Amino acid sequence: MDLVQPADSSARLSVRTEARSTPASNPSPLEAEVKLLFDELRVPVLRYLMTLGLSPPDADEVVQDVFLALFQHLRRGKPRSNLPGWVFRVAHNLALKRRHANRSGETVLADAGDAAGHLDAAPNPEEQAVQRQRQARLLAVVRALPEQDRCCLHLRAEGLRYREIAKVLGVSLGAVSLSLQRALARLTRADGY
Amino acid sequence: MGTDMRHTNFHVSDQQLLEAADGELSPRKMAKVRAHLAACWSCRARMRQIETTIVNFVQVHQRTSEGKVPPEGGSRSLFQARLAEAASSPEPAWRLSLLPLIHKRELALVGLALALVALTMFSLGILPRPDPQRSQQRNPAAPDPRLTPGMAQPLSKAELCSLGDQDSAPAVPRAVALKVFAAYGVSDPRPRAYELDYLIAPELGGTNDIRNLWPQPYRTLPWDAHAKDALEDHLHGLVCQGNLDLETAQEDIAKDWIAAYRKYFRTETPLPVHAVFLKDQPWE
Repeated sequence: MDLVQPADSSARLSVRTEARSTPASNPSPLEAEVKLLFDELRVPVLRYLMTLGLSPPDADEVVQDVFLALFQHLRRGKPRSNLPGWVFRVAHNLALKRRHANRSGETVLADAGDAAGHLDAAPNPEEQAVQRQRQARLLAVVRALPEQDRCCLHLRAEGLRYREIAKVLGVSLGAVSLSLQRALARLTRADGY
Repeated sequence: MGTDMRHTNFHVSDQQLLEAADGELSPRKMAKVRAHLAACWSCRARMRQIETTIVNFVQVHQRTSEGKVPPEGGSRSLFQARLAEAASSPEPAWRLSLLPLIHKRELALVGLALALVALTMFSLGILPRPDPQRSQQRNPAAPDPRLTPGMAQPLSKAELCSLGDQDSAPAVPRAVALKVFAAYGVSDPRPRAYELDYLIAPELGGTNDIRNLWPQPYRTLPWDAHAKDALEDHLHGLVCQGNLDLETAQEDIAKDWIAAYRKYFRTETPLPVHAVFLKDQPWE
C-alpha cells in the first residue's frame, strides 16, 4: 500500500475500508498516476508489442499486465526514475515470454497493403501509387532486418533515447547506435538515395 | 547513405550524424559536428537524407498499426477495474510473529549442514559430476544442490541494507558463466533464454562464487526466473525491515527457493503479478 502509515490503528483501518468500498470513486494518488501513464503510453506500447509479432488481443493483455506490475512496483516504493523506460522494458520481456509460449517465434509485421490503406489524401492517384510503393519497399526492408536492429528502430520511433533502448534490450549503448545506423542505412538505400 | 557517403577522414560518419540528429552526442562532439556541417555541403546533404528516411519510417511505423490497435474504451475500463482490485488488496503485512517459528532455527541448521556435506563431497570428488542426461531428470526450475549449494559472504544486515536498492545483480564474467553452463550440461546456451542466477542473491549476501551460480531457464513456468527474482526482492525487504533474520533468509533460499517462495508469499503457485517481475537481466 502506498499509504502513509497512520499514527493509530483505527485510522489505518478506516483508510483500508475506504479503499475497499469505493476504489473507483476514490482512487489513491498512486492509482491516478498509473492510470495517467496507462493513457499516455498504452498506444505506443501496443504498437511496439505488435512489431514484436504479438496479435492485437495478446498485446492488449500484455499492456494490462505491464501496468498492473507498474502499480505494484511503485506501491512497494521501488525506483521511480524513467518510468516509460521501465514500462517498455517489462513489456518487451513479457512479450518475448508470450511469444515463446505461443510458439510463434516469427515476427509478423503488417503487410504493405495494410499501410497503403491508410495513406494520406495525396493530390493525385499517381502520387498515391508512388507513396504506396515507397512504403512497401520500406516495410520489406524492416521485415528483413535482424531483430535487434528492428527493435531499436521501433523503440526509437516511440521516442525512447539510446540509453533507454539499451536497457530495454539489455545491450550496450554502442550496440544501439550501431543498430540504428545500420537499419537507417538500409532504409535509406531502399528509399532510393 | 550509399557508398559515396561513407565516412572519410575528412567527413562526419553516418553514425555520428545520426547521433547528432538524435541529440546523443556530448556537447563537445556536437559542437564539432555542427561546425563541420556549417562548412560541408556533402555532410549536410547526408544529414538531410537521414532525416528524410526517419520521417518516412515513422510514417510507415505508425500507419501499419492504425486500425489494429484494440479500442481504448474497453481496454481502459478493464484496466481500471483490475487496478482497483489490486489497490484494494493491501500488501501482506509480514511480521515475524506470523512466520512459522517452530523448529525454524533447527531446520535451517540441518539445511546448512547438508549443503556443507554435499559441497565437501563434491569438492573431494566423492559425488560424480552430473551428465546431461542426469541433468534432464532433475527439476529444471531448481539448481542442482551438489553444484550450487549457495555461498554467502559474512556481511551484516546493516551492511547489506545500506547498499540501497539495486536493480540487478553484478554481471558475471563470461568465462565463469560458460563454466556454470557447462557444469549443468548446457554447451550452447541460447541468449536471453536463461538468467545466470545467484542462488543466494547479492542483496542477501550471496557471492559470485561458481557454487552460488546456476543457469535458471525462463521457460520453466510457473517457477521461472521472474518468480525467483520476486522472492529475492521480497526477502531483502523482510530482512531490512527487521522481519526476518538474514541467516534464515540465506538458508531458506539456498535450500529450496520454490518452498521459500511458497512460505514467504503464502501461496502454492507464483502470484500473477510476478510473471512480469524484472530484476536481473537475461544472460546473453
